Order: sequence, then structure tokens, then C-alpha cells
Amino acid sequence: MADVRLQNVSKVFKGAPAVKEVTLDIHDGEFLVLLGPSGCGKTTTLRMVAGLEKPTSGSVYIGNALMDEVLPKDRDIAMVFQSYALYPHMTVHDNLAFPLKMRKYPKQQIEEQVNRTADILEISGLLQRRPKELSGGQRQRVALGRAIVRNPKVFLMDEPLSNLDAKLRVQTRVELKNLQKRLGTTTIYVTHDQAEAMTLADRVALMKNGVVQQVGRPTEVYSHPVNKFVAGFLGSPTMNFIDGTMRSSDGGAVFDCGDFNFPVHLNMVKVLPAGGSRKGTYGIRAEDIGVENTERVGSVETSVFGSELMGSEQFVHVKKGKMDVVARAPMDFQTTIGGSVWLNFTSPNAHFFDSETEQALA
Amino acid sequence: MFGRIKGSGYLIILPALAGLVLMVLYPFAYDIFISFTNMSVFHFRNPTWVGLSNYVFVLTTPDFLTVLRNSVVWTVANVVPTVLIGLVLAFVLNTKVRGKTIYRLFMIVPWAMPSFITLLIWQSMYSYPFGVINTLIGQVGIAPINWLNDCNWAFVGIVIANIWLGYPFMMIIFSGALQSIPSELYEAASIDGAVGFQQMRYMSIPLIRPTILIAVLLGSIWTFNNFNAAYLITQGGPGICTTILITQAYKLAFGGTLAFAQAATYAFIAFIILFVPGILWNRYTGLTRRVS
Amino acid sequence: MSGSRTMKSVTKVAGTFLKHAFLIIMSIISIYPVLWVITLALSPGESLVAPHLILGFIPVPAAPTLEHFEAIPQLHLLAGATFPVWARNSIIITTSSVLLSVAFTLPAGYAFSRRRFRGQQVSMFSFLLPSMFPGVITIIPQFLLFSNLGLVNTYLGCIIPYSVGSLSLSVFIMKGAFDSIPRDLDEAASIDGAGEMRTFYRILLPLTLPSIATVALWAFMGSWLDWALANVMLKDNTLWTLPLALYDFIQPNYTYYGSFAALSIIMSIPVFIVFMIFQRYLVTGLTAGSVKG
Repeated sequence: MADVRLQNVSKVFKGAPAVKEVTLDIHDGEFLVLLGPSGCGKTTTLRMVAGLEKPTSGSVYIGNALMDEVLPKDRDIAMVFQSYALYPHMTVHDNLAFPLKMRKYPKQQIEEQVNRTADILEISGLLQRRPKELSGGQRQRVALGRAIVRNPKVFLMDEPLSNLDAKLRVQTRVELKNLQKRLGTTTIYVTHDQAEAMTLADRVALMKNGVVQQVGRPTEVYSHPVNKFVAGFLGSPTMNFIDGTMRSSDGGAVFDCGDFNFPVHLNMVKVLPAGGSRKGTYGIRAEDIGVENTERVGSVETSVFGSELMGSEQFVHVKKGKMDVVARAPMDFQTTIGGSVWLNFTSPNAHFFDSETEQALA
Repeated sequence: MFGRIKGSGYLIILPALAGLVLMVLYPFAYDIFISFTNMSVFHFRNPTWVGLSNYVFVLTTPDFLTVLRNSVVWTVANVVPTVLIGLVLAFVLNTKVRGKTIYRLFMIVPWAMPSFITLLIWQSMYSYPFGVINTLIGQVGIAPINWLNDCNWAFVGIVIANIWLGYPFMMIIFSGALQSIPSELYEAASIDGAVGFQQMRYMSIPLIRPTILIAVLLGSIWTFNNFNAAYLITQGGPGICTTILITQAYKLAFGGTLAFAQAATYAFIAFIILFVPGILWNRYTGLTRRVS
Repeated sequence: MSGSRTMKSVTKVAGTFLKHAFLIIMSIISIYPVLWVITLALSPGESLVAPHLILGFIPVPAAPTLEHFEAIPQLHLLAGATFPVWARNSIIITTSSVLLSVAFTLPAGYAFSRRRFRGQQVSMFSFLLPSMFPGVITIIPQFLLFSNLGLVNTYLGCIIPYSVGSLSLSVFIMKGAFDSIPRDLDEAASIDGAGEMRTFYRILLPLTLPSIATVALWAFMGSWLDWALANVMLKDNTLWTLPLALYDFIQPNYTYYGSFAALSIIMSIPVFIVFMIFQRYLVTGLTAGSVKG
């Protein structure tokens, strides 16, 4: 078991920077998720930890040892690829045994460890089959098995669940988390699926264009995003963003969208320069918007565009002027397309983002 | 679906099938027929049936065993080196080497250049005593060899020339197979602890095994019947030292006596020898398997 | 740590050196005979005048001249047979063979891939047969058959066997190519209103171009350079193809090296050109649908 440290790691491919000065401290036994859209550099970062790519600058440390000249096979890591990369010409048993065989473990021990791993992952019955005879879910387990059979210091996983169907994915997610806790191995996991990240991560690191935007516990990053990108990436449905100007009003603040304005929570006052106003983006999550069928002080009348019925709740889509917003409402809340609902934006959980830097100011 | 061409698949393959029947199957059947007759320049228009006497004759000629042995040795001596050289070249050119494309271009010259021409060049290279080969070995202090007129050396000579012709093809086939291995497998292997030669041993070779087997099988079949090298360089001589079944057949047929019957006999015998590998090849590659 | 680093770079350098040494040696071996052809073609006279030898074995023409190339249009062996004639014959025969071969192969490959009919396996296997026995031997009955049909000593006498000769491998290449296109495409096209012919022309054909190129290349190589069949079929020297003429330059007593070499090079140029154009398709064409795993 070991911790992993990246210090100012950068990678440039043919003049195009993929990873820029990434510094991360991954604690021993931690499950860290690298989250971000395609092309943000998360896979490249993972591969640098693995040793499959060499950093253009910066250093990777595993367990305090500098990994600059160390080959992947000597780093005591294991990797699960998105496509699993199972050896098609070997049986499941041999696939699992391969890492041990390469390290010249005694035959007896290889058998023990392979069987033990197969038990943990419930694939003992598949040992004599070849990868092409297995289902997607089974292959995924074999890939996992090959990673854990050696009991390495670090697990590296590159979107291992993305080839599974939705239901299986959700189920495997939970099992994976459970497994990791049991084994206690430091894990770095790459994904673009924010729900996956929220479920699995002890901490999540969001990346965009090769730069780490924010690192923190899921709940932390969810409720206190450091910029608009992070705020918009986490959470489903996506956070509502409304462009406009924050103004002061009677000791409090209102947000001015041009055609209309609405009051906001008192703590928004701190973004205002001395008595002035500020242009920016107001961010508020669907679950933080109050939805009523009747008018109330401080609420805004909006026109219903449609509603997503989820079974346990519904998400009402409304429009007003140029504003487009999704708000959460209980299942029994009545809406009609074209009808009006009144929204309340005064939640203390709202955010305000600077119009240029997109940094969160509240 | 409207617009579908009427008729079963037979109609579509008819031209090809007709051509095949006419130009291949019919001659083949006719060949077999001839081998049971006494067709030659003496009995050209009205060959008579002689049953198995041609076969008996051919199989009991003292020459036959030699020619057969030549054919087998010829095949093995060609296939093994061409496959090995092709493999090594494919592997080396699959690694990070600068100038890969230029090397590749040079390597396929023996294949791309008309073999007809290059074989004639080889023939003149082997001439005694001042041919190129003799000059070259002379530089290393070896006395000139009368390649084309010495029984064993002539054989060695045509084998060398044919290997030269053959390895580019093997290299191309194996290169293709190697390149179709996803690089992720190599990455996984390198994390699992396999490096360099180990990767070759546990990954590359097992993964291209089907290709190697097909290449050996196909190569053997083609080499066994390879006419050009054996004929053009030495015409089967001296004596019958470099004669293989098929050059023998050609000589009998077109060498003046028009002994078609005997030639056909040789040909059919060659075919029988190759039939079993042929079936194996078909089985193994599933070439005739239908797409489901 | 740094000790092993140097070890690593030493082995790395040694490895690269060995690799290049091996490749260079193989390259020289590969092109050596061709160097001789080029040297001979550029050397004056007809006998094997010793050219300069670099490093003792690499031939370089001593007094380079283009006389042999210039003499080609005038080359003749016997009355009536000249280079333009040979070239014309070869071109006609080869082009026809290639076209015919492709014309035969495409429908056959398609039918084997997309249609189901009785005896399919058997007919497919029978396409394999030709490769299993000496093609040279089918020359005998072909000759007999054609002499009965009066086709000996004609272009067709060569064109037909050449077209059919390359069929065996070609049909399988095409079948493999069609196999690798999922049926979904056919179905989508038919939903869009395309009949079978249309689907074939507009959709399948363009997608299998590499394999078609391979088939064409194969047919080309089988016919442009063939000597054995042409030798039997074409008696009149006005019908001689290039290979036949070339062989004649090697008399029992004397070889006209210069003309021989020059003519060889001229004959090879089309092969190289065609080859260069198609070689990138060659591997994909040959292995489409056949390499497992």
C-alpha cells in the first residue's frame, strides 16, 4: 500500500499540451477519481502514473520513490483498461496467472492466488474459458481479477465500467467500491461519468484542458464548487446558470436578468463591490429552487415548457424571457405545458460566478 | 426487396464458375484421363487406354524417387528459411526503427521485381568461373564453384534464389498480422511484467500463430509446385538433380516428345500428395465457412 | 541507480546497432541482383564487361550509356518481331486478363458472401483446387482444348487462362472483403430504396476497393510476367509477349546482356508502378477476414 504523488506533472504531445502542471497528493488507501470531459488529460495523467507515458516535466512518486526511470512493471501497480485488454489467446486462468508468472512466483502460490482472486470476483467457474466466450460483465471481472491477483500497491483504472450496460454499471460500481474498501489498495480511477465519481470517490479531482480544477470530497466539491466548470459538471440535472447582474437592494441583493429580476439570499451581498453591482452568472441547482403554483413574495412567474417525471420526483423545465431553468418538484405537483409556475431563487446554496474568471464568489 | 437479382447464387457465380470449370476443372479431369492413356507425340490424335501402366511405369522409374525426394527437400529447404526470415524481418520492422519505410521498400524488391527476370540474373550470377557469386566468394578465399553443373550445388543454388524470392511475401503477411495486434495488449503485458523478448514469446508469437501456420501450409503447397526457380535457372539439370515433380512433368510434356500422358501422371501424383494439406488448410482457415 | 541507467543505454544502443546492421545486410541482399540488372543495362556492349566494383562487390557501370535503352524500339530477333509488337501484345493480353478477372471475381465473391445456395461449400472448395496442383500442368489440356477450338496462337488463348488462373485466391479475397461488411448496411440500403444491384454498386463496391485493388494486382502479376503458358500458346513471333522475347535473349552460347537488362528494366517498370500504387492495400486485402484473434 502506498501513496501516490504527482508534482507539477506536465505532458506535451507534439506541441499540444495535454496535461499542465498537475500536482496531486493521493493518500494511501484512498479512492481518488479523476473526473472530466473527454480530452481533459485524465487518462494521460493516469498513464503517466503507470509509466506508459513519460512526463514532459514534473515527477511522479509512488510510495515516496521517484518513478522517473522506473518501468511500469517495476512500479508494483496494476491497471484495468477501458477495453479490458484481456489476452485473447489465453484462458481466464492464464490471464489471471500471467502477472504472477512473469514475476516468477512458484507454481503453487500462483494457483492459490488465482483461485482466491477468482473466488472474490465469483468467476471461478470461468477459469477454463477464453475471453471471447465471456459476456461483457464477465470480461470486466477478469480484467479486475488480473489487477488484484498480484496485490499491488496501486490500482489504476481507466473507465473500466463504460462498456457495460447501464444497469450492470450501477451494480458493479457498488461492488467495486466495496472491494476496494476490503482490499484497502490505493486506487486512481478515471471517468467522465459524474455519477460514477460521486459514488466511488473518497476524493474527486476534476480536470479540464489538462488542468486540475478542484480536488476534494464529493460532497465538498458538489456544494462548494470553485468555478463554473466544476459546478456544471457535477450533479444531475446540471446546475442552472443564469447570466445577469447582481445588484444591491434594500440591504439585500437582487439578481437582474435584464427583463426581470428576482431576490436572492443575503449572503450574496458579499460579492457586491461597495454598494455597486456586479455582472456574472447565478448558479442554482434544481433541488434548491422553490416551486409553487401560486404567486408569492419574492418569486418569479415562469412558463412551463415541460416536465420530466422520474417516479419519485419530477423536474420541471421552465422558461422566462431568455432564462431557461430546471427545477425539482414533488411528483404530485401539477403542471400544464404553457401554464405558469412561480419559482423562488433565494436558497442559501446558490452560487455566483464572476463573468470573466468564472470563479465562484459565493 | 425489389430489384433483387432473380435466381439463386448460382447465376451470379456462373461466369466465374464456368471459367473455372472450363479452364481448371475440365483440364484437371482431362489430365487425369490422359494419365491413363498413352498420349505422346507418337499417339497424339488417337491415344489409347492403357490403364495404370503409366503409373506403374512412373512409380518404378529409378528417377522417380529422386525427383520425389528433390521435391520434398526443395519444399522444406524453402519454407523453413523463408518463414523464419520473414518472421524476423517482420518483428524487427515492427519495433521503433528509423527509416522503416525505406527498409521495407528494399525488402520487397525481390518480390516486386519480375521473378522471371531476377531468376535469369541469378542464373548468370551462378556462372562459372567468373559469375558474381564466384567472384564474391573468391574475395573470402573460397575457390569458385561450378554451381550450375554440380549436382548438389545446383540444388543449393536454386534454393537460395527461391528463398530470396520468397521471404518478402512472408514478411508482408507477418507484418500485417503483427500490426493487427492491439497495442493495449502490449501495454497490459508490460504492466504485468513482460518486457522485450518476453513480450514476443508470450504475446506476439502466440497471437500470430494462426497466421504462421497458414503461411507454412500455403507456402509448402506453393513451393512444392513452384515452377519458375527450378526450371529457369537450371532446367532441372544437371541430369535430374534439380528436377522436381513439376518440372519433370513440364519437360515431358513440352520437351519434344510431347509425352502428355506421362506428364499428366506426374502431375496427378503431385496433386495427390498435396491434397491432404489442402484439406487441412481449408479446415483450419475456415475459408469455405459460410457467414452466418 | 545511475549504474543501471548506463547499462540500459548501452544495451539500447547495441540493440539499435544490431537491428540496423541486420536490416542493412538484408537490404543489400534484397536489391543486389537488381543492381546488376541496372548496371548491365547501363554498360556499353553486349558482353559482361567487368564494371567497377565498389567495396569489391557492388556493381557500378564503368562507362554509363543509354545505348541499350535507345536500342529497344529497334530490337528484333526474327523477322516481324519487334519491341513495339511485343509490348502491344503484352499490354492487350494483360489488360484484358485483369478486367476479365475482376469481372469474374466480384460476382463470385459477392454470391459466396451474401447468398445461400446448395452446394455452396463444395463450389467454394473447388475454387481452392487450382492452387493445390501445378498450374503448369493444366497447360497441357488447355493447349489441347484450345487447339481443338482453334484458340491456340491467339490472344484469347492466353487471356482466358490468365483470367481464370488468378481466380482461386481472388474469389476468397473478395468473399472475405464482402464478409467484413455487416449485413446491416445492405438492409439500411434496401430500406432507403436501393435494389440489390444498386446496393452492390454504390455501397459495397466502394467499401471493398482495397480488396478489388488486390485482385487486380494479383491478376496483373500473374499475366504480365508469365512465360510458361505464353510459351506454349503463342507460336507466331508476332504474338510474342515480352517475357517470351526476353527469354530469347539468353541463347545457349551467348547472352546479350545489355539488351536483356535494358528490356528487363522496361518490363519491370509497370510492375513497380502498379505495385507501389497498390501495395498499401495488399496486406489489408490479403488478410481481410482471414486472420483470427
